[in-house]
Amino acid sequence: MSARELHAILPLLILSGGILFLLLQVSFLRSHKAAAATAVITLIAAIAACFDVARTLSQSAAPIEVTGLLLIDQQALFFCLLFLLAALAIAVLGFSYLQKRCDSARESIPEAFYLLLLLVMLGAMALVFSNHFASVFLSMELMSLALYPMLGFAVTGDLSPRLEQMYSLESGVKYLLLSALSTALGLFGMALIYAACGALDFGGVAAAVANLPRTPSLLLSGLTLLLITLAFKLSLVPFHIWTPDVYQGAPSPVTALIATVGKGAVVALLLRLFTELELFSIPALTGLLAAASVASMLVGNLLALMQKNIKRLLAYSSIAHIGYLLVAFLIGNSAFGNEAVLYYLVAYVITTLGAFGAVGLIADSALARTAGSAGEYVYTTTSPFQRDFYRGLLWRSPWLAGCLAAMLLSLAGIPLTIGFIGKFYIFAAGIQGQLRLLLAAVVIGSAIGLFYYLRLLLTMVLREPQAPLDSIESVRIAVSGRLLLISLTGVLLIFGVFPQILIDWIYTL
Amino acid sequence: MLNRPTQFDPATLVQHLWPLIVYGFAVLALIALMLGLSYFLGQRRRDAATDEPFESGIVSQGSAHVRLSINYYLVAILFIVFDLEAIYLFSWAIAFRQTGLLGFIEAAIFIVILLAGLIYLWRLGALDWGGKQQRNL
Amino acid sequence: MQDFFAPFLAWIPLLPLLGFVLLIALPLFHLREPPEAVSAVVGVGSVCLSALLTLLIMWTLFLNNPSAVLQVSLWQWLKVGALQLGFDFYLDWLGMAMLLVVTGVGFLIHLYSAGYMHGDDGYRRYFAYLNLFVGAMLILVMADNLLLLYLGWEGVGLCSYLLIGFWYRNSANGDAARKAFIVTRIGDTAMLLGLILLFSQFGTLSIRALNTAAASAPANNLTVTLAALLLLGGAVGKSAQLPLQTWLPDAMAGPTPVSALIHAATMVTAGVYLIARMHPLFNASETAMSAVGIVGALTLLLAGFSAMVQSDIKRVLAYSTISQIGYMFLALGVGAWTGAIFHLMTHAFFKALLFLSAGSVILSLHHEQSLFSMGGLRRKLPFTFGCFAIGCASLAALPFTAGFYSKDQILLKAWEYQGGFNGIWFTGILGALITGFYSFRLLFLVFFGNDGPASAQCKDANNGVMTLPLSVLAVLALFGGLLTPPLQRVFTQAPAGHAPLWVEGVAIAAPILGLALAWLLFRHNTSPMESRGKSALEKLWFSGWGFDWLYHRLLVQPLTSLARINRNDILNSIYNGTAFICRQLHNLLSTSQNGLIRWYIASFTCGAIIFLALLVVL
Repeated sequence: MSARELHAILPLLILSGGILFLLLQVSFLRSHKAAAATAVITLIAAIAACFDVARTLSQSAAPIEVTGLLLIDQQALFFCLLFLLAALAIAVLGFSYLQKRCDSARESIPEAFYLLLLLVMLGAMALVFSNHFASVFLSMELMSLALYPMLGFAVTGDLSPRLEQMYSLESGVKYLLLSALSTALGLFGMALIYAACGALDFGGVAAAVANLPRTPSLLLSGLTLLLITLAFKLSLVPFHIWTPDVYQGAPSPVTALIATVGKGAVVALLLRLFTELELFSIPALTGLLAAASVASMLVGNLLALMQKNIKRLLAYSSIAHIGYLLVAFLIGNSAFGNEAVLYYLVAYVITTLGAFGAVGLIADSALARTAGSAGEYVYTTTSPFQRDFYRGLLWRSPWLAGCLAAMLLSLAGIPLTIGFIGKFYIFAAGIQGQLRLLLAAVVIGSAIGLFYYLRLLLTMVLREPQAPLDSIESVRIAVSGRLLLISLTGVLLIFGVFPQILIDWIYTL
Repeated sequence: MLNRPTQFDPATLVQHLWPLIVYGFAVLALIALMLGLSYFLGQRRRDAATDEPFESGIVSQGSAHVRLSINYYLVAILFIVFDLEAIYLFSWAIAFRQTGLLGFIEAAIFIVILLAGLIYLWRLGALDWGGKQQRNL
Repeated sequence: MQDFFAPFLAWIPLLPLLGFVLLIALPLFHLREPPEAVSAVVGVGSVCLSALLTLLIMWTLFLNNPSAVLQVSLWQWLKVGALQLGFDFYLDWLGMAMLLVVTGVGFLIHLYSAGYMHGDDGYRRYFAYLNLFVGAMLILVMADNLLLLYLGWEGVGLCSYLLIGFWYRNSANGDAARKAFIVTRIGDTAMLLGLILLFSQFGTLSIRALNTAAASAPANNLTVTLAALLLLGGAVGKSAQLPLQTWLPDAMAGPTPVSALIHAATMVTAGVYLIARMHPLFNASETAMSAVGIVGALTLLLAGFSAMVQSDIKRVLAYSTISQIGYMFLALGVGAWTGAIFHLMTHAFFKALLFLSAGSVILSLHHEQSLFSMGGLRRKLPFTFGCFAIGCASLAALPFTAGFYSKDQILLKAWEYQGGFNGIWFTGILGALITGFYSFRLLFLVFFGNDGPASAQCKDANNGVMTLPLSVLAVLALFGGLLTPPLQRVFTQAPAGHAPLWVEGVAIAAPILGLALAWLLFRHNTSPMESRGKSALEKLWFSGWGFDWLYHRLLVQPLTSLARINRNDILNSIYNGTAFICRQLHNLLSTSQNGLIRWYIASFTCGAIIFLALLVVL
């Protein structure tokens, strides 16, 4: 392993070092704030490292292969950067979430959240860099294993409302079981691939794919099983069914994490897999993806239609959004399709982060300590995730509602938001690739989507009919959360109005 | 079109698959036969004891759901985790001379990471039997 | 000199429009209703300034110069392909005559309104609407192209709607307003079609260019005829001529000064103005000309008969307005352009006078409008009586009143129409007789005979601001015949020939005969009709020849029944159906989300099997 290779995986090394340091730090210094600070510093350092590696890459122009397991190129670094930034936002959200719910004097360990967050990031980044099925499996498992406890993290925050803890636990267990099933299938798929072509590195498999026989074969079955695993992680229909339960039960920052980093890393892997292995030329696989995409758009939007719980609604809408993204993905190995996928992913990550962030922060603000001796928190309202809670939000706290409204409009693909540009890209890509059926599904899905996004918006505008004006309390959220939301909204609007900035960045890859 | 069978012919497909199809039908028929025969030939009776589990003429007592302390599982998991790491160290020990200094450094990193995990578990009380209750006393 | 005055031209319509904006915006600054005096000053003052400006321009430029023309181009309004329209004004003596009527009579009626509307809740609103009306009417009159004219045309229609329904709390007024608006829209639509046809044929909407083009078109060109007939449709709607006359009697629901200004003096004569303005176009088509004449003649008679039996003072005047505009159309049809515009002017004077006097009567009797409740008011309201009598005389065209000169001119021209005795002329004479009859029936029923039930509570409501306009209008109704506008350069027509003396005699005798008949029947204010009930013919006349009934049966009922059939909006069921299907699909899919992990695993496995099965198929 040369120094150049070591330098190329600098972001991964920094993350690993940070994790190790945090382990020891938590062991000897129990402080929520310090742990958060370490995590943030590690993430920022990793971001800086990403830039550094990118600079080296732009000098040499060739991607760097590290030990046959990892391949570092510009596009992977772009994904990493995106996910690291998202992780930074999630760290902020998580801090706000845990601060109220954890009592350090007792047995809860809020510091573990940051540890797990960094582990998820390590897994996600390794997945993005993967160039070998072994590293794919390892990094995907690292990511998943770190996610299970995070999904159930409300239990650690032992001051959380009892019901929330139960839901959180349920979420973690469900994801664990289903994810184990999907991993098993994926592993079986890899075994079949190895059996068929005797290689596990992408280059070796690609050679075998090029000589693929024309009938259904062992290799194709293996690839399909692998595709099922990835489809599960992306919650594509028909493997979507876990999504609402897991998203609803998980703590909001973790929901944001699994929806952005968890899915984005898999999209990055899918992109590399299909590009490196030339899988676009196999009609069976693209056909499967197209079918899943259409089904996701329709089923996701239809399921969200009458949904009253905001987190479930966003979960269903994320199913549909990955469906949209696949439309761009499916136009094949073209620069434009690649660009469209990247742009839509950026839009999706920003918007989803903002939406779940806003929802989580609003819920945090509704927490109040009970008078009882246990000192547990309860929600001041029946449930802060129900749509009814958002009634008249615009009048209670206009800024917060404005940010959430911007997120919703972006999800709906209304102009002047990044979501519109993203959807425009999807359309352009679909038209370029002559994918008529998929485009029809996009149109129908968007139309249905408009209904529930706008209904939520309308709810926020409606004023409580009976409530007197002075009884309306504004929603109070922490400064860090507020700054985060405003900056996300700002980015959303800037890239929505001046998409050229982001397009140029993507082009330089 | 690369992968599409050159001539997609249902006739040849059936020709290839007919033993499988016959087998599938045979399985289904057998199941239907067994269930149907027992349904028609078997006697049906509804007594007070029909639904009770039969245990050698002794009426069963209590529930089979016994709650075991989570600490058993915790310790078991910890054991498995650290036990598994030994496999890697064992394989490294065999190839110690071949791997040389680089292998030594890698193994050292591995051990340090394990050590850090152990310290973490220890400091957080995962190794304390009974955990919370004892410490709080 | 002309260049000097051109910019002032734009201010004539602008001033009332500014007044409108100011009146509408006043509460924004004060947050409460301004005092009546403020509204009155703004409302009346703006029109007064316009009138003064008009007089000034008339005095300096037009008075001694029959061919004076003033035009000003304000800005480019529209530019779509070949269509280039400017906000351009054009003024010749035809426009000037209209301008004088609109601003002069308009000012007098504004002034009168200041007194009449005193104490009304909507005082400011009233003047705002009235100002808007004057502004729109002035745009209509001064427009240099048909689209700008159409803008004014629609503007006055809107104001008419707003003012008829001014007292909107009474739903009958709202109905009347809607009726007026919808019926006139039918005409407006025809007119718009005419505009489009003209543009597609001639490629321009400029009035003068169109007139030149039409004059040079081959005689009886089908397009020209069609366009002229479509424009006639618009004119018929706006001027309440057959068959779209039904809205005007109901329009009397508005305040009386409104009836005087809009529904007697100015707006309803817009149709006459339009045809006069486009006269080369009409001249180019014999069919259109005879259509105009026949519409006028028929309307004149039908409305006259209806006026004879009405029992509401304002409805009598309304039918008489329809009838008199019928005269104008008749005049247009026989080519008596000057006569038509002259009659328009004198009609504006005496009809405004009649309406305002009627307003005084109504106000004095505490909003009583039934003729049979009145009577003997000559002693209690001597001034009003004097004015009303002058108005009636002028309406009946008794010799030496204003109405006499204009009507005489029309009848002479009608005689010459086909070189002697003809149906049009005869209709005109018959109409004159009827006019004499109903106008003096009105006068006698209101002011002569015994006191009616309402006369007892009579209290003279005239005050300074109301008597001044009445006096001015009375003078104009008497001597307005001397103010012949010099239109000979606008309308090139053959000089009037000489009709036999007996024709003149018949024309003079007819209204006097009507007067005598009325004297015989109604001198004592005992109404034979009232005492013995109505005959079938009278009922028919009373209902305006049953047009309302006919239209209701023919048009309104089929439409409402159609609407009733489609009450649930059949097309909408497509959208509702879509929503229903989506909802059902949602419910169906939602059942799959049952939260059971075994079900989830099963569905996952099924999905995997489906994928693998698809692999075989694909």
